[in-house]
Amino acid sequence: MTIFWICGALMLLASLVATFAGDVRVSILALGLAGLAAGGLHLSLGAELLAVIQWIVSTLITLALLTYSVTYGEFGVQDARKKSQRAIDALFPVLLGGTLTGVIWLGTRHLPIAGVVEVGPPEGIAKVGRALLDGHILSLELLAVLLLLVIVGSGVLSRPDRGES
Amino acid sequence: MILIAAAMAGIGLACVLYRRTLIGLLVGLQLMVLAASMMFMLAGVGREAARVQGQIAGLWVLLFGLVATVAGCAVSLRLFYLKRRASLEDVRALRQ
Repeated sequence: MTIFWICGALMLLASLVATFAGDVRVSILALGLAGLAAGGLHLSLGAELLAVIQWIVSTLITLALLTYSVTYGEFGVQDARKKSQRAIDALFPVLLGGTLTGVIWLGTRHLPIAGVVEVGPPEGIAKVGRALLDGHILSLELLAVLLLLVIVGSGVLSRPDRGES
Repeated sequence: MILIAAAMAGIGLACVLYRRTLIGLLVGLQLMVLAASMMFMLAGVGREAARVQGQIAGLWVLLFGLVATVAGCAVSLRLFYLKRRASLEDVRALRQ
């Protein structure tokens, strides 16, 4: 369980940096670190398939966001707001985020995992894959169609108009 | 354990509200997706019969988050074509 707590602390720290860093580049890299730590956390709880997919997705999203931030000219640009203004702007989001945390915590207290529990042996990837194909084939197909649609739609949406250079 | 995922969701919401750019919004959204995915997985860990189900639900959330990020990147790219910048204030320009 030591790995779980190390990954959890790393993930929370990286999330805080991603939220409040003045530099977009640091924010995106911290998001990538949070994703990697989340994968480690999944792995420490025996969810191997989820951990591997988490690592792949986080890496791809980090690379994509870095590319887009370079495209938009935001890469390495500091937040233009003054420190005092940033502190004032952060007050309401922090308050609301804290409220959401409290609400989730209160709502999930009854779950058996709310405290520290002994985690059993890891589920085999084959077992998860079999459960996916046996009991969730329709949702798997729907997800595949959705992914295809969003890829095609993104291509259409982001193309230049006719006559636009 | 759940507290970690709950705190992560709170930080993600704070990021969505605090950041003023579309990239920042996508970072916050991704943090919330991480939290939701972890929440499902953790909810299944405590019960032997639900371990696989929790992982599968976490997987769905993760992939739907990927879909949302791809769509967000496409929208921001469209904004950049139209306005030569990608800020949240310009999102309404897409409706015109």
